[in-house]
Amino acid sequence: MEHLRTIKEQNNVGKTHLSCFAHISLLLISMILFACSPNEQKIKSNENNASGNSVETKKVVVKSAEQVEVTHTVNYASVVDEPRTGIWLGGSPAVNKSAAEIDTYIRIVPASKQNHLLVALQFEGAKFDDAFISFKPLDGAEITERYPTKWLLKPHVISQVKFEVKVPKTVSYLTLYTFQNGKGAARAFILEKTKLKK
Amino acid sequence: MFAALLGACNSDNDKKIVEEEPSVEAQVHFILASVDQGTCSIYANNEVIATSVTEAGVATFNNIPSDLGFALIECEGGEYQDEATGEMLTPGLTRAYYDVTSSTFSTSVTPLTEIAIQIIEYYDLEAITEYTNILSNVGDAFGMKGFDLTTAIPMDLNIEEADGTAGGRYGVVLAALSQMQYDIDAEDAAEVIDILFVGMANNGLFTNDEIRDYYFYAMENMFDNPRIDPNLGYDVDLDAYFHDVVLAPLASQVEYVDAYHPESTNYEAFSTITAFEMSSFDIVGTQLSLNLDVTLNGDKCSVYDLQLLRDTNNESKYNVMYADCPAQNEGEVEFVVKDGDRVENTTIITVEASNNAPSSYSKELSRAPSELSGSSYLYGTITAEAPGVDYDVSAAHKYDKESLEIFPVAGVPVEMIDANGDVIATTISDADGFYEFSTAPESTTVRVVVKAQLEKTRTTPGVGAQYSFAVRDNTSSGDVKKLYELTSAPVTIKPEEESENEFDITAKIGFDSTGKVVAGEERESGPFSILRIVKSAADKLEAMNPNIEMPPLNLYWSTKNVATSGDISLGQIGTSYYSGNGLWQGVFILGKADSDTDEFDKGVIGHEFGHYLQAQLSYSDSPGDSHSYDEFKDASLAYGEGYGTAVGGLLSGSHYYCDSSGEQQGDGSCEDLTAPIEEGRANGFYSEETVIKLMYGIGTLNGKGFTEFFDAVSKMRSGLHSATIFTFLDHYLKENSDVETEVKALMAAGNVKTSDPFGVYPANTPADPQISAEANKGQSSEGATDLEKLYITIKLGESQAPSEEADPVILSNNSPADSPEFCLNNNLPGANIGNGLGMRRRAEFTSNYTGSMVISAFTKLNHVVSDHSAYIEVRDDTGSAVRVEGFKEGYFGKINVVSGRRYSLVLNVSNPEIILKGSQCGYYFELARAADSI
Repeated sequence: MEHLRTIKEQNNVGKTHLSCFAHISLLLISMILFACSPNEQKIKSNENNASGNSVETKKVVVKSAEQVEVTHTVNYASVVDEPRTGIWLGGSPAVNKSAAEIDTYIRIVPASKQNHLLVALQFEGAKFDDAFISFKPLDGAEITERYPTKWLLKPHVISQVKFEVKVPKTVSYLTLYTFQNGKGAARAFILEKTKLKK
Repeated sequence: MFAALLGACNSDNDKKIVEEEPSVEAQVHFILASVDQGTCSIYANNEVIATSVTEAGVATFNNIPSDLGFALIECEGGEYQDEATGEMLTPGLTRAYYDVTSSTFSTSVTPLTEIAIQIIEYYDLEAITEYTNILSNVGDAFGMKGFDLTTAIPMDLNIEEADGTAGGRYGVVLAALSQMQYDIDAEDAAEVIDILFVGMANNGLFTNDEIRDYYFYAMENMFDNPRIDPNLGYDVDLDAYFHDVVLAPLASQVEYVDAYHPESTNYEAFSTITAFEMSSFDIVGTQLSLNLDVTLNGDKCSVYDLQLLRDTNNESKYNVMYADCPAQNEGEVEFVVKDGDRVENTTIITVEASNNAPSSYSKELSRAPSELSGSSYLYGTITAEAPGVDYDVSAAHKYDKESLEIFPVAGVPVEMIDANGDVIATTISDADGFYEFSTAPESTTVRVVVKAQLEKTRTTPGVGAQYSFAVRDNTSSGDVKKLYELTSAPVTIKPEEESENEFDITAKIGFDSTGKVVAGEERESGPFSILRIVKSAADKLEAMNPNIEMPPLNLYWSTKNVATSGDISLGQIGTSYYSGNGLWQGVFILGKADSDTDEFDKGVIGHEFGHYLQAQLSYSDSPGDSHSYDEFKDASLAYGEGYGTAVGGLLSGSHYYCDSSGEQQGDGSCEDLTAPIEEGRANGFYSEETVIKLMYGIGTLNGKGFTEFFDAVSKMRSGLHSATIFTFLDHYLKENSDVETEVKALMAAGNVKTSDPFGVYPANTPADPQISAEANKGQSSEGATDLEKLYITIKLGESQAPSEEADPVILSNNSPADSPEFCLNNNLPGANIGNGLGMRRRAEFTSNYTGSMVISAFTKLNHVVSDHSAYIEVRDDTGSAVRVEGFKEGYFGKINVVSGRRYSLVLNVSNPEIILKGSQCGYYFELARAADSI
């Protein structure tokens, strides 16, 4: 039955559950393995992650901390077939920080350990082959496992990364850099449980 | 015999009835879907008077006293089948109130009644008097307008099909909540209630569209849910349901009230006013309306000029309006904002005697004068470090020694201080950063203090430039935020009189050669880098006009300033931006290393300072809010943001607008302001990118420059037109006709078809296919046909002023000749918020009388456009903003008009959801003459 599809964009909030974090641990392991192997073949398309999706990587030229260009193998973030579920914050970047034109949504839930948080980032709006994101915890927060902090985004699909951070008792942030079509911009998120505030 | 038998039986039965109390049943329906084996209790005076377990959703109570009165009913536990998933779930505590006046009542306990009770509790309201109204409003908000939620019993859509009754509609609502639980992956129904509650005002209506959207999406998604969809009932009922939700008003909510007072810091709301003087307040909140009833100590206040809180940070969604209130005696009084009968906000205001306290600006801590003096010279050059950037390669900063740029710190106050910190002498650094003191005390150790400030003060009124720009730390404590200063190492003046002591000072960058922050080092040069761009602009403007006067501006920067919104005093500023009203006015600049730090991004600083210049020296009616290049935006938004970037490029002297970011500031992007717009991107008066390229091109035309550019910008301060690319072009070409050919070539590249300030195209101009009715129709059967028509002209009829008691007399008939119809549309990319193309409509008229005028707008069905969903701004032909005061329900407000004067008005739609399917035409303005004395 096709009823009123009136004034809202469709599917800003989805209707089906995504794979849970339990599945992600296996995904993490496979991704870490790839990230730790700098000489992987150019495109790995036959590896499977826990969700049955292939995990692809690509060699890209990046700048090291010393601004020297080096070649790294970078994973593609996992593609999400279904829309977001749950309460997500974020969305369009700030006014003058939207150069990459990639919208980022964030959902943070407590992990099993105290002061540990599970962070999910979802990226929407990738259109170009050079799209990628990178992130870094700031102000005392740290990623608990060895986990890649740079991911390629496939164009015209929605992508997600999920990881765990340990946060200090003081305010800490996750800075996120998004890039595509030769343009990049940064934004940041407070590392705390996602909640709507009255 | 048969009769005898019957009689015997009857006799037994009658006897039994007589022996037992009559059993009278009340029913409580515990419904998320029907809850089985849930426990429901009825309370009176905080004590349980009866408990019952539900069967198929119904808890039956016998012999509840008919005079019980207002009773709390609590239900929890048991199981119900979740409609969205079919899973069996256990409900949490769910409550309702019911006014028991009979022992045979029937009521329901549902998530909606629980929301109503949570509102009562959160806002500490009186349940007996408020619950019914709040529950009614909760019903309205969720699409049950006109139904009584105390008596309606929801249908269970697991097993029944909605039938168009109150129970059917209630069942659909609960199914949508079930769908929402599924959509948002909520733990349970209680989490859904918690989330919805966040978005609700103290009267039970939604105040937050973002939260309401979760419900709205669930309404849509349940049609795709095979468990729910078959039982949703008839389309006509569902159509009514959707409309009821969409058309339910959003409630006004006051965030803060800020009193005007000399001691106000403007960093937090101030609640003190001066006795025996009229007082003024900013009222900031969401869904505000000039028809709110605002009183101070019971005295009615005049409310006026509702508008968006204008800053260039897209996180801000607040309205601001102003209130002037009668004088009060000393003491404490209540400032009350009411929405009808609902008290939305009460703020306690302290009224104190005038104490001639210094303003917050004059509280700046300054050093005491020193008694030391001498005849020696202390001099040197003040410089600062900036990272190198290869603009034509990338925005990445380079910090190695060879790449660092050393720039002079020019035009700033420099102090020579003694060991106690007292000031021996003061000077201003010159254009090369050179400073000199001629009274340095011999054999004395002094320090040099360099202030991050640019200031010029007139000595003769009206003669010479006057301005004050200061870079301050928004994360510092105190009423006055700390002005950045660079204090030198100590230097000992030679013992000989008139000795020469050279002492150069360099503000360090605070990053190592790879861009990592050097632990323990200040990032000293940041504030002076910001001032460098500001000085470039001030010098250019002063060259144009030696007597220029610019209002004081604080530029807030901190190494803690991070690109996330939150507490500004913690550095959570969201982005670099300019704010011209509300708390925290000024330019805010990011400073978080390894994330995004903008103090060296000349284009970014020039852009934000450009917004300040536009607001103070020109005119801005940009609605702000989210935007990006490839979007279709209102002409004023596109102009304001495009101008900002263009002027940023002109002030920084580079055709690259670069913004570095990322780890060690090694990433970012540069925009070539001279590059043509790529095929397929939005290109026209509605495009920020078009305006950037067009205005930067004009600002760099051969033989022309910033002077001619900003002369046209500043001329926009007069006249009734909106600030659009058309108005700029009109002013520019009037003064620079010698480059008309070049300008028109740039206009053609930008698909800008006219320089008429009203945006009127030459006859027979082909329609723009990017914004045609077909392109913008979205879900509608047809889109707006008038997106290229910037203004409509309203003709006024003649009328005498009505009496005070009479209704205003309509001056503009709804006809193509008098008040042409217009469309509202938000279907184009980027146009689905209040700053989109088609979301702000402009009209102009010439008044034929002097007196009061009231303004309203109507839909094609002659429904008035709610002032909760839209507001107007009015400007006259002198360029002055016309004060729009509250009038009464159904009107945006009242203005005073002068015969023969021409006016423009802008209708700003703040709630796009009033436009069903994103496109509706047939709207029209109605202008009416009101009694002069009102």
